[in-house]
Amino acid sequence: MSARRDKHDAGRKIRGAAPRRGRGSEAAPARIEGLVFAGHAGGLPKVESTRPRAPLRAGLEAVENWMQAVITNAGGLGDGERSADARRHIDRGAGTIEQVILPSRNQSSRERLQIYANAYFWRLIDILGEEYPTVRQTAGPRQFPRLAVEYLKAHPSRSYSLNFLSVKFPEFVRSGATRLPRREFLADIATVERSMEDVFDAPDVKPLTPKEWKRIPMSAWMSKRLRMTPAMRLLELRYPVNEYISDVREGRKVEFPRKAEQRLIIFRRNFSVWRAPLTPIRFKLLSALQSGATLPEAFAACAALKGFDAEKFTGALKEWFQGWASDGLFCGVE
Amino acid sequence: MIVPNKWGFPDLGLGVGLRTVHYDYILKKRPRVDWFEILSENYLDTDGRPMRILEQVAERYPVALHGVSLSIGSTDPLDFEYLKKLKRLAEKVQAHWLGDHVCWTGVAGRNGHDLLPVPLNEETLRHIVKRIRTVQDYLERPLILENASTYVTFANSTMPEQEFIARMAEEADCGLLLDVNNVYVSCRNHDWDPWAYLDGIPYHRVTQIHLAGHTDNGTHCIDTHNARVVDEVWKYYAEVHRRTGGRATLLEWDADIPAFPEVHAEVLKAKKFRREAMKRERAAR
Repeated sequence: MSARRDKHDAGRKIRGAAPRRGRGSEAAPARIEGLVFAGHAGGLPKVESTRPRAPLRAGLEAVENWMQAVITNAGGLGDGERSADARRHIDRGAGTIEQVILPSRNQSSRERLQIYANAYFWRLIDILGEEYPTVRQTAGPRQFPRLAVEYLKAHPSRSYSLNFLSVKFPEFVRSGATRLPRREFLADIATVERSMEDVFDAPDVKPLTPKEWKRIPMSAWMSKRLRMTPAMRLLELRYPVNEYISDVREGRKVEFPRKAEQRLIIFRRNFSVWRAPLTPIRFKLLSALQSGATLPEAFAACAALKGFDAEKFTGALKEWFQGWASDGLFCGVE
Repeated sequence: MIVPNKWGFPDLGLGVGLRTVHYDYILKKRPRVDWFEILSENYLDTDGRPMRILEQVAERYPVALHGVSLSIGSTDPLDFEYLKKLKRLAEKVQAHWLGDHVCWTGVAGRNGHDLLPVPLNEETLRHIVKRIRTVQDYLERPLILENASTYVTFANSTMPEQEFIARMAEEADCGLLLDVNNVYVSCRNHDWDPWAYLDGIPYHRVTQIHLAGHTDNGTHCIDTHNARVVDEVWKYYAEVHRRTGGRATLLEWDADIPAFPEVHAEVLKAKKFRREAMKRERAAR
């Protein structure tokens, strides 16, 4: 098997440390053409002065829910302040922000809260971009942040871990929930990049050793099932994205490939993530085994393929299995 | 007067935050670093390369866990699935202690992955103290909580942060991770007096100290962890050292990370400030 070593395994992003806060001046609205998720844009009510009002008696739960609603509103602080979500928790009319957040000597209440609003989107866009570098590069610097923000609006993080932030991203890209040129192509790339993340973190299960292989009696092969490594994904794609992804990640010049089916295996060996294209018959065989078929059942699934050549198939089996075994794809027999 | 640590946690010396860009260097060169702090969440849900690296690091160096997702200040229920994984990880790497921040990260089931500030008042204090006690009972060890750097203050706060932290630590019987860079950043942002802040800290509960660089935007500072420690922060560090006689000290560098020797050299500067602080302390006796 011609496996392709990927840069992905070279390192691992630091998640969660020192959350990034904006770019440049946090007081400036962070704009992506046509998209406002921060700042004074979005028609904030002008607050002439902080009129003396009753002291803020909001409880902790109200303050936290209000703050989250305001700083995570993609329309900016003004929209956040006016949103039903925020007003459900604290509503003191125009200038609620000034009633909840104190100014400092150098910054207004809004400028201070803006720091958290900027940080929310930029940080998560960055994380999505790190997990989907080829999608980011292909979509481009205007389209990708928009796509990411739409995704974050639809699927805000609900886990303590950033590892799970983007699990629905490929599905979101494919769904058509947002206008996107080359949707299918991007969805295929996202599917591959997500699978690489999953394989990178998958449980570590020891593969069968040559000694263990030899101990399995021939008679067992007809009824037993091979247990496959959890660090493996098999993908059927509409575009041949494998080379394209490598080219983008390695900084080579790229052209968009024409639509053509591609089957891929993504797996981990020695803690590195590898990708390789598979022929339809090898893909069918591995898919059947992965879904729990016995060897005879898996062979039968292959025989049902159009153009199946029994002689060629049986002749190639030994080499295929040896390759897959040395890649550590099998970890038990049951 | 020097105040010993309440639990007798050791002064692990001068450590560095374990970062992926340094994995290869650390494994190949085995630098003489006193200890490493790891970001808990980076290892809770992976059984791949990061975990193998961590196992090797933990075999050779003392390790402490530092988390960002406990969300002790949130009004959402505690996440016991998270705590279960945290406890397992701490046991696996034989962590000296387990830390996180005085903050919240989300409500209504959401997580913004940021260290958000809480109003400093009696209600918040009662809420956090209760949760710390629950977490400590579950983890069967004291939590070491860090003063986060903050960018807003609330109209319904009723006490200074140092008072809040001191009362929280006493009433919950937890430990403190004093981030002296965060003291600088928060005091700058909120026009607080850093020396009054440092005066209010119960040093017998301080188990660890954080150092880091920040970005000064003129009107406010941002805790970016992307630069060297500034002189003023070193002064605070020296003062804290004078009062404690030495606590495990850790440099965080999370953006624009230089090569490992440079990061290590930055934290080693603490030696000089430690020496000078102790000289002053001896002279004052």
